[in-house]
Amino acid sequence: MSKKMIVLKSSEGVSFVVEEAVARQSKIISFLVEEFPDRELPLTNMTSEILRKTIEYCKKHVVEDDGGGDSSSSSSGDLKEWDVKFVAEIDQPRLMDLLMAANYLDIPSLLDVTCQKVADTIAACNDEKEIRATFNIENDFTEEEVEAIRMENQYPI
Amino acid sequence: METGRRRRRGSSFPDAIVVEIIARLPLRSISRFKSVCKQWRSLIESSYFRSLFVSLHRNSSSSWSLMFPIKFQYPITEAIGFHGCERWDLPKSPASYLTPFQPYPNGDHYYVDSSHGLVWIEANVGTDGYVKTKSFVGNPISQDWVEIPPPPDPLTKPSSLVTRVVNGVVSSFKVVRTCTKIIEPRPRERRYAWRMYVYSSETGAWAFRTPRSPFPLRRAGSNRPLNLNGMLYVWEKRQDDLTGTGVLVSHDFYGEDDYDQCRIIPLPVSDNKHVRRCSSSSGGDVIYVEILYQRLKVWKLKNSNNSSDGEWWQLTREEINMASVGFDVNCFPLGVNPFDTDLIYLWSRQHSCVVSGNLRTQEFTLHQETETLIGSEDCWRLNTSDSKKHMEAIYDPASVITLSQFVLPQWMDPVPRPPN
Repeated sequence: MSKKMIVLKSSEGVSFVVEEAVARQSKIISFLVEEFPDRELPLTNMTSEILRKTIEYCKKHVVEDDGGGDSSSSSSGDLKEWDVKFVAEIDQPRLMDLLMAANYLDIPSLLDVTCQKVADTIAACNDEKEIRATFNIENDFTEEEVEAIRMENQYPI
Repeated sequence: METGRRRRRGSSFPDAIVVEIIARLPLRSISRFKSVCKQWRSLIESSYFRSLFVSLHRNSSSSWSLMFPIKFQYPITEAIGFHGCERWDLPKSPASYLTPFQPYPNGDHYYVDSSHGLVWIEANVGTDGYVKTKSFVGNPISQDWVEIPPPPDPLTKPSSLVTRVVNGVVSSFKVVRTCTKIIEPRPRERRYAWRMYVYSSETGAWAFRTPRSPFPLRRAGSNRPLNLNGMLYVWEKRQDDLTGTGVLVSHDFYGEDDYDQCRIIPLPVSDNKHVRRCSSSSGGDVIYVEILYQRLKVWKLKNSNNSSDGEWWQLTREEINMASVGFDVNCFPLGVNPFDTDLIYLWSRQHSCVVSGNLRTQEFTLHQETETLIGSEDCWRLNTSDSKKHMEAIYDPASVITLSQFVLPQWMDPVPRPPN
């Protein structure tokens, strides 16, 4: 039996042909293919690069999922390891884009691993200045406001 | 071109993304991130963020310490400590944050009680010539402390701390001191009441309170109480039944109905001077553990307020014959794991050490030295050396031992303060 395929189109207009089971890990795509079968789905806010990464993640996870009844803890452990490696290889700006894609397409497990990776990066920062620099966030507090917050939250650790 | 687009996006993540990310950080570090920018601050302080964090971590147990109660000139003593839960991610057990006591790092200080993550500390402040005792209630992890004004009557002793919790947030607390002064009405009358001063964070004031008991009580609430859900439970002997097994006297500090009454809860065991017992709490229930003739029983107080059927307690599991599981050691029960009634802690007098017991597997382990056990995600501390001083000083071996549980809350709410 041949597997049902669907077409996803990136913002640059590049088409990606994927198995429906792979794409259905996105709750949004799952909904769309039911509503509009046999149509290609335009994802106008996702670049080809990010879409390719997202599909890579979904493929890996769908393969593991129907890898027979042998979904032992070691295989889920391997998958976890794979996830860690997968996000470790992506640079910061692309990781944010991937996180946004996971959020937009509603892929809970991808959202979880990308959020956790970003959270770990934040935790590794020494202070708020480093966080702002890493994530390109503008400081919109005055000196006094920062001092007031610091006084309120003097954690001893 | 692409880089430019990314930059713009990087400087302003959508709110939904920021909360998803920050909620994955441990509680102890989250407040640090309030100073990153205004968006982060308002999100961290929002109730949406709070509920997302609580739901993401609902399967994570909380860190806790089982504490010996205040004893003059004894240092603060933790019997058992558990930390390393991902919710808080503490590098050491909760009790280690009590020392040094930051508001007065140089004076003596004592642990009185804890409720829902708040801790009551008594600190001796001043120089040799003039020392005065101050009371503080606060969160030792965030070092957020509120000083409690002195009670109107100095002849009182620290008893316990109770809290009111609304939707998981501590909305108010009460500090309870038991009166020790002998005054009119006559002593016989006095035994029918638990005389106390209660400070409420809602009013910022002390009030005298005398909930009445239907029976005369020997020590009128002077023993160490157990607090749970705004109630205190204190072990007492009835003055008209001094050879009896004693009762638990309970009082609801936030109840409307029986404001002036104590409830008397009989204990499940018949009197015997060989019984060893403790009161504790676990999973929101009052737990009573007894060991008699090497049979260990763990009872849970029934929640129903209707006691007319006479059944106050139910066994959490079948009694365990300690001899038949190969552990015929004479032990005092110390307490129960706050999250699992099948994990209990004992004190072996003959070995002078803490014993941990798993009632599911019926395994008991002696901890001859103070031990730190490090698991993959958690860390235990079993403090044999410091517990020894407390356990060897027990005056009446058949009394009900009550240690205090200092359990970190699900969330780092600010300490409730009285209106200004």
